[in-house]
Amino acid sequence: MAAQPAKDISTQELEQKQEWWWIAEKKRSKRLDYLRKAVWKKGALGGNYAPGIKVDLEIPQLFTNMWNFWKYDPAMLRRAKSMAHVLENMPIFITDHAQLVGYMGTLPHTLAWRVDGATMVNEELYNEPGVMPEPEQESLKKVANLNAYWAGNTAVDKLARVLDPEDAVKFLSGAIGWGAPTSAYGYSGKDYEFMFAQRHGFKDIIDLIDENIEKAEDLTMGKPGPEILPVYDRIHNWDAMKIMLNAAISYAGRYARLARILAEHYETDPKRKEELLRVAKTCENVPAKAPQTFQESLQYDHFVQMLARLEAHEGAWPARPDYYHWPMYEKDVIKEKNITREEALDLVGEFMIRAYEVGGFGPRWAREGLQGITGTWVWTLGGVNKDGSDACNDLTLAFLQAARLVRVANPTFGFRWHPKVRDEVMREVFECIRHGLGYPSIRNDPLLIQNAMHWHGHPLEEARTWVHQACMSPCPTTKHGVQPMRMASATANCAKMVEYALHSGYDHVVQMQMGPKTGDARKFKTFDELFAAWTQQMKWIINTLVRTVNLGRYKDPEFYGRPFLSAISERAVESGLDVVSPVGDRGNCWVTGFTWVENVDSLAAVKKLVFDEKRYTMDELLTALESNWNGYEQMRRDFVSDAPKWGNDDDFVDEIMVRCLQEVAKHSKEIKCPSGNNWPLLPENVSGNIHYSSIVGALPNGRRLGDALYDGGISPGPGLDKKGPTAVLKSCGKIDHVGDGRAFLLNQRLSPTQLAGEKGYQLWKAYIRTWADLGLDHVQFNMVSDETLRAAQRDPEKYQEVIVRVAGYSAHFVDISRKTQDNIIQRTVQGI
Amino acid sequence: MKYKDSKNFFPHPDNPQRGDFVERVVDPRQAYYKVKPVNANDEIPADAAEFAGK
Amino acid sequence: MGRRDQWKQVQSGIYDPSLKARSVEERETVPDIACSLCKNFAESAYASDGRGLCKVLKIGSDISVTPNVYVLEGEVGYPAYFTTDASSCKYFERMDFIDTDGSEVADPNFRRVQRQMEKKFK
Repeated sequence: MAAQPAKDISTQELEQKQEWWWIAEKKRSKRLDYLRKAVWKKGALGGNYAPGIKVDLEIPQLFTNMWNFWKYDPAMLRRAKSMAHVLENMPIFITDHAQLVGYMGTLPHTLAWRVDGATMVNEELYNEPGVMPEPEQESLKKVANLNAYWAGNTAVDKLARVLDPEDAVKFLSGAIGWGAPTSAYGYSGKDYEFMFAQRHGFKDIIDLIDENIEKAEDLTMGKPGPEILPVYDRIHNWDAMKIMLNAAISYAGRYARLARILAEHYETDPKRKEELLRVAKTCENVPAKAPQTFQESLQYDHFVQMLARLEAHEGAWPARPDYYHWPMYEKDVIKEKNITREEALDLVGEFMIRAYEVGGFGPRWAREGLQGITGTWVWTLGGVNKDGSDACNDLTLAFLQAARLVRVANPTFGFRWHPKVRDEVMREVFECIRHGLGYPSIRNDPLLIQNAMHWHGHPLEEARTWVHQACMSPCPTTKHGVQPMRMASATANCAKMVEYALHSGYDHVVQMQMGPKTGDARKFKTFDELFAAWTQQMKWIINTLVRTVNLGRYKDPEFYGRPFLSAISERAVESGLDVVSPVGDRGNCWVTGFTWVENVDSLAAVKKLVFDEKRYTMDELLTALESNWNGYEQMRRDFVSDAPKWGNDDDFVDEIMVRCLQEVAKHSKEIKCPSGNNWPLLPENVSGNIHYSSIVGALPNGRRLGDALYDGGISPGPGLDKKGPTAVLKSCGKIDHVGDGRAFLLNQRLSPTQLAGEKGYQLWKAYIRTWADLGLDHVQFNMVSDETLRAAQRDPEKYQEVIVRVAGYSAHFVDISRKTQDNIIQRTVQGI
Repeated sequence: MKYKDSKNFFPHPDNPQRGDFVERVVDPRQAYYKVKPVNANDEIPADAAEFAGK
Repeated sequence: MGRRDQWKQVQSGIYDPSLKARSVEERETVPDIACSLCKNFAESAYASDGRGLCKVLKIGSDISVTPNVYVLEGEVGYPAYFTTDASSCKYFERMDFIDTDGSEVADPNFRRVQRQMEKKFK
């Protein structure tokens, strides 16, 4: 439990001290206060789960029993039957004071375990300290038995057998990228247009499926011919979808029944009794029918998210809650006044808390790369309607206000800024940033809509529906635009591009010849020779990752199968295909570029100090790098301080940035996703810069093996942007944010003291205008002082609630490793 | 003691041989009600006995 | 041996899931001379379940047979597991510093965060 503030401290004093978390506690309702403090945080502390967090063994056992029983069914049908068994038999719970229900584990402190995803993850789980439920020995036996059953039979095992073995080994080395090429561990977009805009409840969808089965049976019982052959499989798929929809309705019904039992047999408080009966009615109505109230709308969405997460380990949460829940909010709060705004705010706050408590067991690389959280739940707010008009509404404000009350690190928001956003909304956005939440990130809506059309050919109206597919990448929520599976395995550890260019493709950390042999860099005579080697290594890394993920996507309906996700996706309901099948998907893929800017600063350093000024030879540089700069400290300092660094409006290095990006952009159009669409780069990092710190070797930007990498995207190296915020923006503005890549993350730290009060808001607003004028697509802010962060390092108990922006997500400062904390403190605080 | 003899057992209307067993749990962070589907004639395990209540 | 066959051999050495179907007792035992205690062992940068590669021995080596087979040339290290018995390996070099703290982040060379390793060093 966090320390308590002295009761006699006024809100004003707390504001002055910027201790916003105590203000939130004072202002929020008793219900929100209880629910917020009730959450068992599932994000890892660095790489370890927090004390008290345990793996849920009941669901994997229920699932495995039934999976074994239905062994002769095709993948999707077998999963549907097994999942239905889970939904029918898993324990469920309702927390005191809760009005929204549903969790992906059987108890509030449990992590869901995707037992059929990957043998390696299962083995990690067995060996993981602290997560086994007591009695530990008994749990270990259960896990060992489950692991023995699934060894060799998980989705990743199946894929590994069909991948080229060289690709499999190099991908699984962990050096060039991360992720798992299966929808067992993916991010799935949700077809919100189908469920919410078109108002389909699950019973409506079942009716649609029945019609399709009937038509299909006319074919299978009719004239024989080759055209009817694929239809048999589709009927099985439709059956699977129906099983899942019916199971989901029954699952919601179980909550309804529990709420009613509690109201009628246990609860003595009349007000709570009424609430429980409303919970019961809500769960009887949704997801069976389209929502009729604001509470039903949120509950429907939450059930959908939980069911998808029971079906697969989902690492992101693409959503646009102020847009899709607006109709019911408008009806209940504004038009019919069925509930007050305060009551609605309570529901919104709880809706965020329900997402905050979600967590599944993730492999250590994912925990380290997403320290403090269990996935990037970046919800999208603002933006425009399909006709281009401003979509911001009172619910947008409510989400921004609720965020400051509940102060969760996950979900966060990405705000779609456009020139028509009202000042009232911008002020609320700024208040969240000023309160140190690190969110919303600001996204340039007109530019990103153009970008979605440029790279993936989404029609304008569809592009305007975009949501954050994960941290950063925009994706429509429409029938052909929605992306059902984005696996993180097209996430490149880009610093290896320059590392391999310097070592002819050999990786000294994982001890393997990884990339192509591009020649002994000691013999390079010109910068262009080095750049050519870099280009080859860049292509090799991207190709290896994309080949892996493409095959994973293509084979996923056979190796995994997503009956629930298919059942809520219009194109799958219509076609009878697993929604993960690339058929009917326009394609919205991107390569996440971790540790990108190291390439630029390293290449610039070699160009200047070796090829232009000839202060050092390639031989000397390679020798120094091979010794991890040990014994070459003065030389290392020269490479840090005498070489130009990205983010200072210096054309020497900025031109290298643009040249590298354009080289990737050219390649991005040569390689294709399973739908035949492009693979643009999206530089951003989460906390991968720390995860990879002991995996990326010494680099010419002066970095040693073990040092943290830069914080990512196109953010300058921490402390290396010395010429102020405008110079950073100008450097970033030299990139074409439409044609050079899919999106570009920019972290900035601002001074909370400078940005206090009305003057602070006006300064920030002017900054945003410059940012937009220069054509940047993203920026996010940390606005917590060094003083507070250092105090939190000294006395973590007292600062449990301090939140920081890591990169693409926020986390509680105390939940990230010391190395990550230091990396954030090192970032330059920009005076604007 | 069998589930069916507990006041915290609620038989399913369509199938009285099955039902929900409700437990009150207070953990270090929150209090909640948990429910688990059970067979009416099964014995209540020792670790859930405190919730049985005749 | 063709390219594909060579890499298949590597793949089966590193990722063969049948290696993992072991009893609880086998899983819990870390021998006193185990690869995880050797400075030449580097954990996988991908899976933190305790698999890894030897930095000296290359693929084709085998320290589970008598006499040991040592291959010192090659492009991929010899696959081992943190519980692999290295008592007969002449290249075993005990590591002085072993980091079992999982609250920091990956370090293939020094970190061993498995529950069994934590127990061994407590």
